[in-house]
Amino acid sequence: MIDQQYQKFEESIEKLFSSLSLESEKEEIKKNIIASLYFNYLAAIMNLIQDDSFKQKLKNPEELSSDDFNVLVEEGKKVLTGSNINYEETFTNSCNTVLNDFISELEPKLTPEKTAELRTIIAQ
Amino acid sequence: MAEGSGEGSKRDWKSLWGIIKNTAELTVKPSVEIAKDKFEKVTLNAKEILESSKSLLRENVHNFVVQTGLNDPEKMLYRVSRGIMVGVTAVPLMVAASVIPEAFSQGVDKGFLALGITATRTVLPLHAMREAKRFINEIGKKEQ
Repeated sequence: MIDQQYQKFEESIEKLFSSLSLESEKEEIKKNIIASLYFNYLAAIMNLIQDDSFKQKLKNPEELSSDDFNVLVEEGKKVLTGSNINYEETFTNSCNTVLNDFISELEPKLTPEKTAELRTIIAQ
Repeated sequence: MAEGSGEGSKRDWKSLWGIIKNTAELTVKPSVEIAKDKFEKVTLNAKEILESSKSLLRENVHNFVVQTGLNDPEKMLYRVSRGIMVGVTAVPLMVAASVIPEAFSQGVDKGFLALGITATRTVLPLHAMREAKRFINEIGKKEQ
């Protein structure tokens, strides 16, 4: 389930912080990592939407009124309900990608042993 | 004899202590230095980790902008400034959540999809939007 996967994602972040002996800036760092997941997952879903006309509407929202926006949401529901997107798999992939990318960002400043330890944490 | 042995014992202990101390310096000190060296390498400054997380977010914003075709910085900035982008980015999550009933049953504060539903009201997407805006401004500056 996606909800459980998200919980696991948050737990992994906490474990990484613990392994890095991080004491300060935790909230801001966590926010950046979760926001990264937000964008990663959104991009993945947007890429999986097959309906080009709907995608085009998402990309050009300047003239949308509040009512138009609600109509767009309803249309989106139909588009995605009718699609065969595997949300769970997409979400899990995004979680793994973001955590691995975060470690890759830190990697140049870590020993290989520490990098391996961090990667083991997120693989659990 | 007994005193002599006592003196001898004291000297022996002093010598022994000297040997122990020297040995400790030879064997333990380098180990401590190695451990300290390793410790310093793995204990990153919180600011450095924060910068890495910002870099990660910037990269994901960049990929989002490029992959979704929203790669016109001026238009994107316009949308963000009108707050429309917040709603637009929420759409796929809202619709995704609507096809996964379990996400609703967990309540609004648990789970990422539920978070997406309240995108316009939560700090996280606003934070993400601010970062997107900052990123787009950076692109704008580079292009000028």
